[in-house]
Amino acid sequence: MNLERDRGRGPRVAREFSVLRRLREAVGAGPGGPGATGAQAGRPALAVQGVSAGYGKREVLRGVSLEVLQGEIVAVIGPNGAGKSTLLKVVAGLLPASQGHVFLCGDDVTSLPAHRRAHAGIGYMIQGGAVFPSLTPDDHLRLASLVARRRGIGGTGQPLVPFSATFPSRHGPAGLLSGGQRQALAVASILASNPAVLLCDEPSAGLAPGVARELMEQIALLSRERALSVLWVEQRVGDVLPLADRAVLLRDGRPAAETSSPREWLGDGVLAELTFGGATRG
Amino acid sequence: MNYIWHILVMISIYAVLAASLNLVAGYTGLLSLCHAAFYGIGAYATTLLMMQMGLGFFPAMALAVPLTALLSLLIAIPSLRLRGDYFVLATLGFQIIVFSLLYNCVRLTRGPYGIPGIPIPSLFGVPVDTVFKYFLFSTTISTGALAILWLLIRSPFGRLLRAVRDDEVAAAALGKNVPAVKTMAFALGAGLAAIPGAMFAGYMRYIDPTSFTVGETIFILSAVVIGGAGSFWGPLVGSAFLVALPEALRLIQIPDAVAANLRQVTYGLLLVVLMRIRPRGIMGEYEFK
Repeated sequence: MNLERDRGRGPRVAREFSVLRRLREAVGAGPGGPGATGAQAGRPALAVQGVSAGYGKREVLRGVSLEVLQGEIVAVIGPNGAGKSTLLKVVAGLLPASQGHVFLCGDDVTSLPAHRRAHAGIGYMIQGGAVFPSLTPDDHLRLASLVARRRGIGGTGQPLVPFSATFPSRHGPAGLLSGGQRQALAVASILASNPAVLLCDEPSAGLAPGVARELMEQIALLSRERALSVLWVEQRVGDVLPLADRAVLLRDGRPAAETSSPREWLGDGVLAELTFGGATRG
Repeated sequence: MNYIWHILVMISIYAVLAASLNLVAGYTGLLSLCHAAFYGIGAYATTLLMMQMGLGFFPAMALAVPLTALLSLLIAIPSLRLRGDYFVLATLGFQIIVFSLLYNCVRLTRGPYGIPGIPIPSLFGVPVDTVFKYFLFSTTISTGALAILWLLIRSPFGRLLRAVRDDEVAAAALGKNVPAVKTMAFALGAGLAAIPGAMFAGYMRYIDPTSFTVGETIFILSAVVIGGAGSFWGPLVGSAFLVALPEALRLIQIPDAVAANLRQVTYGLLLVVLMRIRPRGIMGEYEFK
């Protein structure tokens, strides 16, 4: 709806958009879909049970439990320091949980290291979407599709190639790409690994508002098309809530509220509560 | 003329040494300070296998390579869990331990006396007994070793190494076993360093621990950094530059009394200037953080 207005913002933003749109065209053609994810209807694709974790002696998560059903997008919002990113790190296996369990499609993956969880089907998009600066876009997709092949569900490397062709420097290092292109590439890499559950940590961090919204919409569309289950941590509350099926408000390392109609949280009352929560933490 | 061939032999040895360290430091981002230890283990292993077991040069070298790679796991497995600076210090410790062992295990290595009378290598029954022949011999071996490295770097494994260097967390999130990749790169780099060790032993026909000190490690690392870490040709250019530079300074007519010192000063100054104007090295790709 806002795209027409944003498109008038000059050639740079327009170029970002063309990359983002091609991202969906290219990735959408992949052999994804619910059949490839291994999840069964009625069972949660991802379940977090009573997870506590922290850094050193500082406990950030205090007994978090939540579920993401098959094909569901769950937004996790909350003030800074509430433990949103920490939660994703624990699910991805990059930070050990001091208590609690993480289940992927019913299997306990709590004791698996990060790379084994990726093999099991967890796709983790690091905050702001990390790319490998010295690798080319093609390299990224090849690297990622190896994981999919390992899981025996076929790499999506082939249909992704037209996408990387849209980059100005397909054979140049990714470090030279613009912010939006880099983040689109990070999304494409994760999707090329064909995960069952996608963890997004502020995928649009640092982007201009228009580009950020477009990237977020594309991620949501791609996830819907492939029936991906998504756990989505986001600061851009106003942008993420309309895209989500459910939302969880995290405060002081605990789920403080939950809703199945996230749009209702866009009303004044809840936003004030969020602000208030941020203020008490100083 | 022999003088020129001698310099070229030394360049061919250092080229492989620097290139193998580049695999570890440049491509995988592991700043290791024990490369001279692997160089030394390779040289001693080849020498002892030739002199004690009566093996030929090539079989001895072929055994020294996996042996060195295996020994490198002694340091790789415990220290790769450490981060950044601590890993650097752990490898430095390993370098010092290996030097002390070479120096003090007199019954095996003859310690400070060194091992003289290393047999002349021969190729198809022809002894490599002149400097020129050794130049051809060592160039052939180093070309082979560098070809292996080139293939490694271009392979999907090489891509994986750079991914791990660029972002460990992202690599793990994409299903890569980061500690295993690092360990493998470290062992491969160590194993490849045994090849120049063997070349050096066969050329000098005498080895002692002083050739494999911390200073030597720094020299190899300088060749990598000056040439350009993370680029295939960088370490080759860097080792040619570092081996030839003191020789070139020798040609400048300086009074004998100050010559040696002045050469050192010029040498140091050139390195500082080079790092100022080209922090990524001559062929640079990757800058250490």
